[in-house]
Amino acid sequence: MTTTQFRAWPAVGALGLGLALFACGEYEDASSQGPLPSQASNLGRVPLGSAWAYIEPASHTAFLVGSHGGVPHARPVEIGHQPLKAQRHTGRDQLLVLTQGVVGARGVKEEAAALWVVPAAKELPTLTIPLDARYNDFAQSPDGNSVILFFSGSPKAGGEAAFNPNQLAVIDLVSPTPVPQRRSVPSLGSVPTGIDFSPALTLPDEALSLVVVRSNNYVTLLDLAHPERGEIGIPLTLPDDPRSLRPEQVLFDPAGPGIFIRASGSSDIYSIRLAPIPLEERVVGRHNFRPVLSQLAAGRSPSDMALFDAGEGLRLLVAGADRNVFVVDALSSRTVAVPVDHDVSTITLWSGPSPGNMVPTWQALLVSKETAKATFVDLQKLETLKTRNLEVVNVPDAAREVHPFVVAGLAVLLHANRSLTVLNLATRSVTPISSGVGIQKLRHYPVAPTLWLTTPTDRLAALNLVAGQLSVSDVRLDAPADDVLVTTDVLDSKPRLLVAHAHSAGYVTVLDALAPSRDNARSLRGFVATGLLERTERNAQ
Amino acid sequence: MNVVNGRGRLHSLMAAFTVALGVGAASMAAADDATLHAEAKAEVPRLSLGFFVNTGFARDKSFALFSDSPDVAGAGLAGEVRLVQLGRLGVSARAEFSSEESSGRWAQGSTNYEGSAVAAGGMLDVLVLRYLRPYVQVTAGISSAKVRLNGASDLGLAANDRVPFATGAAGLRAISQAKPWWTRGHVMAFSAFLEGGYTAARGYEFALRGRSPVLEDDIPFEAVQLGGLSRARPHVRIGASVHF
Repeated sequence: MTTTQFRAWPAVGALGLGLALFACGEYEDASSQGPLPSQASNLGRVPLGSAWAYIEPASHTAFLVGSHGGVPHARPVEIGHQPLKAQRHTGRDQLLVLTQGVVGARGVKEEAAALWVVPAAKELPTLTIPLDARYNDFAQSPDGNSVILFFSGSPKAGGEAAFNPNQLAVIDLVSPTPVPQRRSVPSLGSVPTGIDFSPALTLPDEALSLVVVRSNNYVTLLDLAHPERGEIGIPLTLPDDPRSLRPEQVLFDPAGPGIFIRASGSSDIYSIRLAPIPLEERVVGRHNFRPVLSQLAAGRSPSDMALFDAGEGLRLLVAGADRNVFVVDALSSRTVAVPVDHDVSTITLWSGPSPGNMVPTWQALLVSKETAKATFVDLQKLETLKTRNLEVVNVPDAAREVHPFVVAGLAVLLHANRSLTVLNLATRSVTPISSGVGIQKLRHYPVAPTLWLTTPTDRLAALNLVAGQLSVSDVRLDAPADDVLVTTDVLDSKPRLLVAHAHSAGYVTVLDALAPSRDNARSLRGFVATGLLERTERNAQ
Repeated sequence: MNVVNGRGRLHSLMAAFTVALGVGAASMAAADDATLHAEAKAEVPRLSLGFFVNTGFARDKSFALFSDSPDVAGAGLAGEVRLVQLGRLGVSARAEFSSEESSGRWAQGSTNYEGSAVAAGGMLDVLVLRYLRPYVQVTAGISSAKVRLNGASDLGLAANDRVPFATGAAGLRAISQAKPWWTRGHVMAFSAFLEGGYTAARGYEFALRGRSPVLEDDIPFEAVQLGGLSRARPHVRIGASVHF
């Protein structure tokens, strides 16, 4: 060995060792999960009682954004993978989220589908209810005590070996430990398209609460309180009828008791009377009623219907493609047509004073989507007085949307040109409200007599609904408002305005709801990154 | 000096390091044996400048937001002043600047992490063999980091933080002396070192704020708490220096 070679050894040795140290390293634990996937975030947004709930599917996280002392505050809450649907839990300040979970595979950890109950209050824990199938829809009872999960639309297999698309899961959310109870509906060629919960239906010796499961061409009745009594499938068409009828609207007659169904593709209203079975004919484990189906003629292609009793018995008011409304006697099926000056797309019912009559009576507002007219209807003795009970008012334009605020005694029409018309239900006065930039959304909350109007600009307008005033003011924000929620501040209990701006990273502004101004406004931007490092560590494990 | 955490660039640095060592080795080979033997026990030149590349091992899984790998690669420059030489033992004062950078992704796009540090401290080395000087060193300084979340959002979400730190390390240095022709008789030496160490520091706490500058009448906005990122980590470092 020469001296020269020996002198080079230390450097060569150090170099070789250094190269060996730069071995490939990966987050082995995180390689299957990794950082959050680089796909566009799609923030779904649900208004709760005290906060906005944002759902970010990519990170399976819900963000509850509320006001704390006038300052916006975001709290991330972990939910399951693949959130499909989120709704406010009826009557409660919490969020319901349906997640489909993850279908297990080699190297992929299985996660069951689940219904998540996320309270807005930080102190309350999140409830996770595992499901027995990867349902893609759910419906709540009007009191929020029950939830039914089902497959709707064209359910796709998420990797399961097999599943029954007519399977349901019923969850009693009042129970201390909610557990899904499996039910199913008969498959008569379709899958459920919607679910309606009835009020208490009065039979001679019991009160029933039924669930109506709507499917194309048929409905199914379920008694949640008596699962042993089985389901009743009621076809709306004959077997050889080529039509496809989709039940769209269901109304209940608690005293009848009966059910009325409006279906697209049919000009008839379907009436299902629940005929009680005599005591001597009842069978244990079977229903105490027999459904009797009949069809009520109500014009052509009904678009809306409403039930009312103006002192002459229960009546069904039906509007459709004809320039008539039909008054149907629910008991005798007798139909009376009342001519109207225009098409009718929506029916709004209320009981209240009318011009010249301070005694509340049942009335209706018929709104057109094609002509610049609306009609007030006195429902009392409508079948005999017909057009004499109608009062037509002219509005600036056909209505694109109708927003009734019955408690405030107003109905607001949003027109195609993005202007408004305010109809006073008591005086039947018409007040046009114009806009230089166009009004996009209307929101009203009971805490203040204000109608909040969002526009494409950074101006948020407020329409004072106090009768006789209808003044408009606006406040300039730093970005256009996409939606508005009025809540109570968590810390000081003052009413706050939570303005949601359209932004993929999350953007909310909080203002004083009673006196909104830039001086008292605070914003929170990019809140989807809240606690991102802690959530990354969770995903990387 | 920023070094992108990419294997290609790191390999380029390694190649440059190899070239530098090769030049040093060649210059050493050019000196005659008698000169080297006579200078083997001589003092190390007073001043030195060098560069290094290092890799840290981020134990904190939160770092997955900024990198696909727990390795945090960086590079830096260092300077030393030899204070005392007592026989085989030497004491030096040391100052260094280092930086690191990495990128990753989040749900809406890419992420960036940039870190830098300045530190000063002392080193104790001892001559054990002809060219080998193992050493220990302790440095302390300030470390700063900046993170950015990019993507569809135009909010320009970025945050930075600064923390003090202290690093203890031990290593092995191979140093040789020579009289390269271009120094006209001055003593110069080249060295290479391999070192391992550990940095102790509190973690970074990042609070995202929107894009600046902020207009005077903008509605005030709250910072978004991104979370904490650990700064403490072990590291391995290799480098080369020239002593003069």
